[in-house]
Amino acid sequence: MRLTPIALAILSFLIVAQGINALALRLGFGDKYAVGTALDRAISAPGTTVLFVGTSRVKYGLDPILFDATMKAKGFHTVSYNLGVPALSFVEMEYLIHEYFKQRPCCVKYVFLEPDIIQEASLREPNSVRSILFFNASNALRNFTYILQEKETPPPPVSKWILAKYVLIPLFRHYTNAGIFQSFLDDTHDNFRAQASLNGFISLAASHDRLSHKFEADASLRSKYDEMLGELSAPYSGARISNKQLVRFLDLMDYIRYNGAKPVVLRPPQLIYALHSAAVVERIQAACSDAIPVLDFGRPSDNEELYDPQNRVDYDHLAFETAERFTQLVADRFAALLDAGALATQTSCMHRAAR
Amino acid sequence: MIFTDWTFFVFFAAVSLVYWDIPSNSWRKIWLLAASCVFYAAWDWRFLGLVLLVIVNTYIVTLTLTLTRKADDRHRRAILTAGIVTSLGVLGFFKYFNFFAGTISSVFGAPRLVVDILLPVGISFYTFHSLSYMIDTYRRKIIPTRNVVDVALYILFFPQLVAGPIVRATDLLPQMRELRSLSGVDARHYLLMFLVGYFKKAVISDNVVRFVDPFFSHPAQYGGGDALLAVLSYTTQIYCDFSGYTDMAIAVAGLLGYQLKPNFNHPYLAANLIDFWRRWHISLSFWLRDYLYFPLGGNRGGSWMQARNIAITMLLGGFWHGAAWTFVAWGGLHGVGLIGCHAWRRWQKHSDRDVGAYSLAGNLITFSWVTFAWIFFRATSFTDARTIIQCFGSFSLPTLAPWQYAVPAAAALVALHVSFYRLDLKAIAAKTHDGVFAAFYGAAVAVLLPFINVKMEPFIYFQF
Repeated sequence: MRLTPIALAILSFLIVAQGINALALRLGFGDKYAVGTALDRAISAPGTTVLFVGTSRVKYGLDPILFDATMKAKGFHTVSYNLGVPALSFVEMEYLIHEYFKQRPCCVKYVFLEPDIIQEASLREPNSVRSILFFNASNALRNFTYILQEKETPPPPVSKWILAKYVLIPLFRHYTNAGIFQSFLDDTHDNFRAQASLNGFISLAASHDRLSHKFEADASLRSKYDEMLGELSAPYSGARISNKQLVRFLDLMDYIRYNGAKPVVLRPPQLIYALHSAAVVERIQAACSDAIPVLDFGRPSDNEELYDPQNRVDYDHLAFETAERFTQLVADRFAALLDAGALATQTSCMHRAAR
Repeated sequence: MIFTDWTFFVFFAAVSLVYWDIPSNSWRKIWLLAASCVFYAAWDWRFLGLVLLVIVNTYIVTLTLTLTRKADDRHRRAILTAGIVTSLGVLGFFKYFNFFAGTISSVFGAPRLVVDILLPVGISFYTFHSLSYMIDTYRRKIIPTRNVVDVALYILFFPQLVAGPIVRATDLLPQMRELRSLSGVDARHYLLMFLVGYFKKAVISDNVVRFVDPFFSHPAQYGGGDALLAVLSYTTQIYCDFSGYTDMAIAVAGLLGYQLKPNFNHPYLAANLIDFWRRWHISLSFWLRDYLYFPLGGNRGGSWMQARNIAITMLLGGFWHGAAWTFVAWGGLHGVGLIGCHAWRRWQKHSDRDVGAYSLAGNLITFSWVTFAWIFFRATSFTDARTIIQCFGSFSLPTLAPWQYAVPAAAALVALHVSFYRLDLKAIAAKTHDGVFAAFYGAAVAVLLPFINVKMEPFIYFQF
């Protein structure tokens, strides 16, 4: 078999595919890549000193302008930016933080990390622009290793082979562009153009229907909600996540520290996958509460107003004015930590937590 | 496993690499047979037993017909009849049982007997392979092989197993006798043909389906503009789907050293319906001609007998496609069209004129008739077909796709179709230098892939 024509065919394929990819991005294809768009906007935001990284709970829940104003009133100067991305998976979070510090090695002093480490809904849609653009070889490898490290996967339950397929398909399409124009045309919940935002924050409309209204329409939702609240009031169990998952989360915090910033774990008032986030918090608090500050809003009994169905739009997202209230609470507790000097002597607790 | 799926590429790469490395023809055929079994089992391994039954039946009948070559015709006809009944019995049970049970119950008002039967993929095609081989043996057109592997491979040969083309034993079995050589394979031609087929299927057919399925699922919700768009889209879809499959099948067989005859020749450029059936699903129309139309009497016995024979052939041809009266109606429409065509030619005294001589008016009328008939082919019931036809009575702009996109896209497709008609892929492939061809091929694949529909719609003809 003559190898020269095969090599030539592959070479010309790769050159043309790269050209088409560049052209597609120029035509606005990348606008639907929520992770990339959020990263680009965060990098171009001037003078950021505080970064919030997490899922939609962060995206729709933390208003940087209000945060900075509250901090200023307490005597601290901050310039915060909301780098929340709806349904941000853990591997996407790793990517965002690594890329952010690569491109902006200075300035950021504090990084708030949401400990939702089993979220992977967005990456379960292999036909979305988000998956295709995200899964280059490096990110695919990160995701493969993470799949192997996961103790539990989010519902609906799927085999590890299927999860691997969710990576392999977009990885193939990342380099071949197979079917990208279809993804470009289709709008699904995982495939939409990035919304305009202010400092990364997106405020849910004040007119948004409230969870309490939904309960009036369907009483079964209320009982399910109460059941979830009950589960969150029980003591946390760290057994839901594997050691390797925890190590990866701690490793990410070490990376932040290595880049001169300080990580803070921020657990928003969440209900979906809440027990897994609780597991992360429990494991960190048990092993190294002195080393890693945790702002935990995940206990309904301690934060009743945040869990009041009148103040929420659904199981997982706060209404507009509750998001403002949540922002102030975060700022208050963060300012208290700074006052107490709790963030001054942070160290890695990798060896203790992962034991 | 379908030709456009990555699993097929892996499968084919493995099969062909091993195949060309085997020095003995017998072992190569055994390897191909094993690969064909795997290919078929990828759909449903349970139906392999059914194919095996058809193979054994075909083998025994053809062998017995050879042994009784000198026996009297009645005896041989009985053997053939037994063989045909067995092969058709399998097809009849799996494909038509529920249809006949339903028809009988609705005619006589009897309680309906419904048996949960899965339609084995490709059953209509391999049954026709089996029938033609047995009939050709009976007619002494072919000396059947005693090699059971050859018979099995003739019926199971994976490139043409599930959706044709319907290959005659007289074409394929002689090719199996000699060792194929890789240097004798026109690889560039077949690679190009595969790419064209892939383009037709994955880019055109799988993408126009988005205008077809929503409309045909709920035709009452749409107006004239959408009806026109959906019916024309289906006309495009079925051609690109089926001819795309055939191109790939011929290319895959060609890359293994076997030559299959073309199954399509730009049918939508046909000047009349007679010409159309010489360009559309050629292997089926010639099969119906040789094994049904001619035995019925063909053109002999005057114009009425010819009309009767055409009608029977086309109605059964429609029925072959699917167990539903809408398919029979589709066949009937083509039958009526063909009878009209013959009558017109007699009246115009054109019967001595070349059937394929192009005329724009003839082309437009033929295309419109064929497109109209597709409504019955695609509709799930006569009620739906009537609703679709009624849609044409109301004027409205299309909503399934803006006409500003639909019209240029349709014009581009027509231009592409005509330009492909003028292209000679074989000549182009032969003239091009290896390096240039490779670079072009790589670039062409890169240009084509972004436009495919990754959902990979199954081939339409797999259901037949």
